[in-house]
Amino acid sequence: MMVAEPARGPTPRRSFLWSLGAWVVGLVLAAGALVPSIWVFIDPLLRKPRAPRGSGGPRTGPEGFVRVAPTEAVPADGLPHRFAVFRDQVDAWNYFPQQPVGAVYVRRLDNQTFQVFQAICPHAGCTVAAVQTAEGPAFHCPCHNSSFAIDGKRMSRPGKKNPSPRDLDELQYQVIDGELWVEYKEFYTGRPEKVAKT
Amino acid sequence: MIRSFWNWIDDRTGWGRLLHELLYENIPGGSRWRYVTGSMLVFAFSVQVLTGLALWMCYSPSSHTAYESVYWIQNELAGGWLLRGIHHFMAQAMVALLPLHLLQVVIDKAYRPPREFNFWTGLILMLITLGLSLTGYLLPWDQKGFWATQVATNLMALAPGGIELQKLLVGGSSYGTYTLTRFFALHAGILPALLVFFLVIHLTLFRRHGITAVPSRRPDQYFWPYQVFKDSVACLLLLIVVFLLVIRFDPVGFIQQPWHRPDLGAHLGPPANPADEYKAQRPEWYFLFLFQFLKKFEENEFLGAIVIPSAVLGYFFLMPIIGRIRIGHYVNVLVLLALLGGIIYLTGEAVYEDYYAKWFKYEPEKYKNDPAALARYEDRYKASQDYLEALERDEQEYARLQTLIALHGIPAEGASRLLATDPFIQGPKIFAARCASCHSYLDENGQGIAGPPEDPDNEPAGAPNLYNFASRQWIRGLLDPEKIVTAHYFGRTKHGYPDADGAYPSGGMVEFVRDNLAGLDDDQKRALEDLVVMLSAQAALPYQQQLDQDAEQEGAIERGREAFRSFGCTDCHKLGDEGEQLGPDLTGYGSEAWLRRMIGNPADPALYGDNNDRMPAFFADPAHPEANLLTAEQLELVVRWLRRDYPSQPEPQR
Repeated sequence: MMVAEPARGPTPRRSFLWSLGAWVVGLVLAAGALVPSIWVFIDPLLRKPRAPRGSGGPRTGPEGFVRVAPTEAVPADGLPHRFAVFRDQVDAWNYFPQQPVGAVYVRRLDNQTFQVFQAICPHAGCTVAAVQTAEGPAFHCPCHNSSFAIDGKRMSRPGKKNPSPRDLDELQYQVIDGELWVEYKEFYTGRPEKVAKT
Repeated sequence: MIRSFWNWIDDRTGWGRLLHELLYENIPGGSRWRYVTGSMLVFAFSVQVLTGLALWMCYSPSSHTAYESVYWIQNELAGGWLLRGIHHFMAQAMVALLPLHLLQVVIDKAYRPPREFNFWTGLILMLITLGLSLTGYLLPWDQKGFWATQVATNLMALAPGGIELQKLLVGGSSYGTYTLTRFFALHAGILPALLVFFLVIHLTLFRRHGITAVPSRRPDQYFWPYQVFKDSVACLLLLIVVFLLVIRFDPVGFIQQPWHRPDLGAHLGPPANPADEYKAQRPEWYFLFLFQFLKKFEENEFLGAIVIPSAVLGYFFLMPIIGRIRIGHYVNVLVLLALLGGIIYLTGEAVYEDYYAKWFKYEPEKYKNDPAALARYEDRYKASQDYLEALERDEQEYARLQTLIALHGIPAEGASRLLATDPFIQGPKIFAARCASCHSYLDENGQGIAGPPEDPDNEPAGAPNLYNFASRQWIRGLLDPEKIVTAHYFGRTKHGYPDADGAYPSGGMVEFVRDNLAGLDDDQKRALEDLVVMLSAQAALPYQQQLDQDAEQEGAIERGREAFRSFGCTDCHKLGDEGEQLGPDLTGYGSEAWLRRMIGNPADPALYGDNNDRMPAFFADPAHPEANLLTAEQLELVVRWLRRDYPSQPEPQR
């Protein structure tokens, strides 16, 4: 049996249509896998921020606010005191009641006035510590040496670089029935403006 | 026979020719030791693929199972510690080999035309390897990996479009299960696939252009067996070094006990806790230079974290173009050496700052003439101490977790639940946060949790030291006329602090002890000891259980009750159905129920009543547990901790 002579190729014009067709069909074939994959992959961008549930056990407070502690628990010494923040959390498909989600520093300024700071350093997102320095009480970040006065303002000291682009992030609070409720938010770090994570 | 079988295979597949091409690559100038780095990297990657697949069979990526499965691999699975150890240290070896390979390629001019694409794919492979390191470090979900990786993804959000990129990587705006599933898919699927893809291109291009020979008059050699031998010896050395790292350079100790060694291999700390104050937040050593670099920038993180690193990377990609001319090549070599020098310097500086307090004594005298320098010195010393303390606490919590898991296993809520409900871990934290503004907790050597600073000029501040509260030793001190007036007992409360006239305005316990318990004769001393034994037995302290039983049998408890009457304690205190209700009711003094009541509300009429000196009611309203200063769980934890009512912690075996 003889092997057939290869046929001469079609005219370039026809060949262009064929290759166009091959590309189109090929892209559709690729889309079959890529479209659903990418769609699911970008879910975090498409997801609408859901208002965090109010927290505090059986009671709920104003929207977005989390019960932190009874006001009595904050000593009247004007110093920052650290409180863990617990909130009901949905992590992926699981619901977890009262999880530790972060921490805040609370200062009592006078009887019913407080100052509440997010404990996350606005520089790179480590947690700041309340410390005693030679100049008195202050906040210091153990990562890149950002330091803040107890009112949250950045401190500048000779010979010490303060890398933080903004002051400590202050949080809104309300006192309800002798309890401190805080609008707990986290912010993107490393930028001069406060942008809340959603 | 074998030969004809091989010929048959070769005829159908052409494998003979392929094998010949692979092995008989000509090496101009002969085989050399300096060419081994590439093969070592390929070997290291192959080890990572195999060990990684084995780890995959045991790992479960979710926020409540990731740590737990890694813990199980490390502590329970046969050979798990070795598998994890090799995977961990081989990854580090890969990162350490990358700059060596890069340096060899650049110094030997193997990046110049026509090998640009070879060099560029090499750079891409380097970035993929760093990506594998970063994603792998998070997967155990322990404190170290959790906090270190968070800084990296926070920095990512600084780049243009970074917030979206961060969300895609993290799987949302905060860390959780989807962070693990995504990091795991990257670490075990996407990045290795990309690595293989680029590695194939890298090696094909390498074969296409051949080895860039070092100028020499030595004769050419084939790849097989000359270079292959050198490569395999180098890989063997690498494997030995990795193994020594796994066994912490202690071959003798390892040979003595080679089988179950969860204490060896890769580090594992306690599980991630987002609410914790973690002061040892550092990237792995190979990213430490970037971390240190960021400290140099005042308020311009974007420049330090994004612009400069991107510019350096951009320069790397331009190196083959710059290297076309001779002077450009020397510039490239100099820049590369300078960068490596800078990286080594910054890494060294970061380690030096962190371990400062460990390596150097505290010597503030050196700065006594310069207050600003002294302040800086103190801050630096303190920062290093904080870092080292955090490392130590990390180790203690992990050791504690091992004890708890050995006792209870791991609950479905995760290992962090064991630590969160353990009095040994949580008791001191609650005490330090809520009790130490008045009380101290200091042992015989003065170690423990300090109370408020002494301030003799002001009104009394400070309540009793509660170390071993209600134990025999503690009560002996309380009933000692010398000790009761010290800061360890009533010395700084209204109960023990005389007013200007020398009288005690609040309660007469100090006066009673001074008037009735000083200068006792031997019989009275024995009676007092019986009283101490009896009162301490009210607490039913777990660590005095045996002593209490012996005392009961020997009749000391009965005699103690008699002494309670004869010394006149019943004039003020109730014990069971005897006595008057002037001072606190001593029925079950120091017991769990008594402590709950005392901490819950010390102004309870059956306790201190109106004489309560400033101690808040921490759990006054059991009907509304969430409205109290302590939660029900915190109250229980602190009570059990004060009574040391928890499984004891064995001494570490090292």
